[in-house]
Amino acid sequence: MQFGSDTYRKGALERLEDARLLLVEHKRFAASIYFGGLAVEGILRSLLCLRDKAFDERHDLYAIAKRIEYLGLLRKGDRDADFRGRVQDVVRGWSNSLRFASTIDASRWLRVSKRVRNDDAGALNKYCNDYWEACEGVVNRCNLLWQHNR
Amino acid sequence: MRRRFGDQTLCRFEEMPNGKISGEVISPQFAEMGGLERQKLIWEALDQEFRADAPLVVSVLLAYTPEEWDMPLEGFN
Repeated sequence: MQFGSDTYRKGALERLEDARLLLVEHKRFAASIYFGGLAVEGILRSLLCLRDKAFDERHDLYAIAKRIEYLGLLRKGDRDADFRGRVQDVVRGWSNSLRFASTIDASRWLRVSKRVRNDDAGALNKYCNDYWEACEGVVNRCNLLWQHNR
Repeated sequence: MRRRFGDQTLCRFEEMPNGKISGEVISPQFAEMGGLERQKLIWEALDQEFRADAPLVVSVLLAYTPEEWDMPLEGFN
């Protein structure tokens, strides 16, 4: 299968919806985080592909995001600070550990790593909601860039 | 979508490889809402229109306010 920019973009949109359904309908938190991160990786790759088909950042979201900035995709100055912040939020939460963990183990890991407070039952749900919204913010913004520059 | 979100709403649709519809809904009604709340409104409107078939017809619709959609971008300059 030949992967082009549009292939990555369409896959990313589908992964974002997968992540939302896993979160909202099924409360499968670990899988939702994983699919949200995949959506971000896919949409970042779709942008890179418009300019540079030979990139090799593998699954390093931060490296892909830095490359997008290097390619001049972001606005100058601090006007895209919110976008950079969202990418950083996604990168911080998209741990390899979550890729292989059960939801119970992922919940424990999120608590141990202080991403979720121990004493708040709704905190895990809120963390995952915030994570999805961070992913959605990156996907929305990259989709906008893609639409304007394809 | 316009019935639910008003005449100022702009919808852009495309067909995905699996035959479902994807695209963007641009509406001032999304202002001050988080992404999940926006998606809840969109899927409520789709459920009203397509009932149980909604997930079979639509893949994903991204939600923007007009300000977000018209954001001046300097990419690729």
